[in-house]
Amino acid sequence: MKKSLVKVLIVLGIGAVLLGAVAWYNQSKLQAGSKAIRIVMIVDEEAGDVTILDKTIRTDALTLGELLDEMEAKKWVDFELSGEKTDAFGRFIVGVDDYVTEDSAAGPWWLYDSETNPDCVSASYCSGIDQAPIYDKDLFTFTFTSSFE
Amino acid sequence: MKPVKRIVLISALAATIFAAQVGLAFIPNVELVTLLFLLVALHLEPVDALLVSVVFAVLEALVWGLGDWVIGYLWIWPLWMSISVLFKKINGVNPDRWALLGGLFGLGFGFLFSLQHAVLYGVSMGIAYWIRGISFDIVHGISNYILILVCLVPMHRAFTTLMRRWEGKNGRHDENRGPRDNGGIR
Repeated sequence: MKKSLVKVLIVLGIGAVLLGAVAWYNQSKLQAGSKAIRIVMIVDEEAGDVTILDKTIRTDALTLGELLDEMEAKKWVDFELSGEKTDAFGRFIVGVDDYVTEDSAAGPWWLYDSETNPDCVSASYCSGIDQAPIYDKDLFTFTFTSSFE
Repeated sequence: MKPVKRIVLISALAATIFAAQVGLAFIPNVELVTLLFLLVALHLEPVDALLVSVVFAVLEALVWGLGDWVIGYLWIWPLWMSISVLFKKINGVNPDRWALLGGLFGLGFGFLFSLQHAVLYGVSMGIAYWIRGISFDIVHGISNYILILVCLVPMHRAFTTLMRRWEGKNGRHDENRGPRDNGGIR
């Protein structure tokens, strides 16, 4: 029993070190300080794409989720988010102003992409908003659409 | 074992493992499924053990809905079952060896899923998926190690008793049969 307890404690120690290393690595990717981030929001309607927001924001936020929280606090846009920051994939955007996903199976949904953010570019897709580090001069394009193309 | 008893046993075990999965679902990546599948692999015929893992994956799909993860469950859990069957003779009921193997399986769980993502959505997506989930894999590996180390022996004893009752005389777990006849399980 004592032997098992020692093994359990050793493994827990190894786990804590590994998790700490992962957390440190993730933290090291975040860019502290002031950044200029451009946010473009487009609604894909039958008549064509309608831009509802195109704004460059100066921020100290570390992740896209934090930046969106700042935008909402300043009442530039009204976000409807589902989930929690601490969830495995963070929060999801359900609605922006009057454009809200009513049918989660058929859409339209809010999707976002970036051709400047190194993490989005290297992975060929962007993570959830709370896992997406932001860098100076990043441009994020949010689209309310039923198409994944 | 009579076919009806066999079907009932496979279904009941799959349902029990599913219940255990749901019961611990609120703690991300801490699960009893690896340990329970290991016990099933130790006590049932290899084909029956594989069937339990397939029925479990189907149950998961029926309750949680279809997604690409169902494809993963349909090959990753049978893979763990196959590993358990293969290592049965080497590891016996040694909790240290099984804990190490189960821990490594938990640690590699996300990697196995990322292989599937790489095939379905491209290599970069597979790598991104794996990297994104490494912290969950660490928790999975550590929890598997501890659960198997602590619970394998008592659960193995309990499982043996239950199987003896279920199979009756001349079953694989009958005490009167030699260890060679029942696959080395005592």
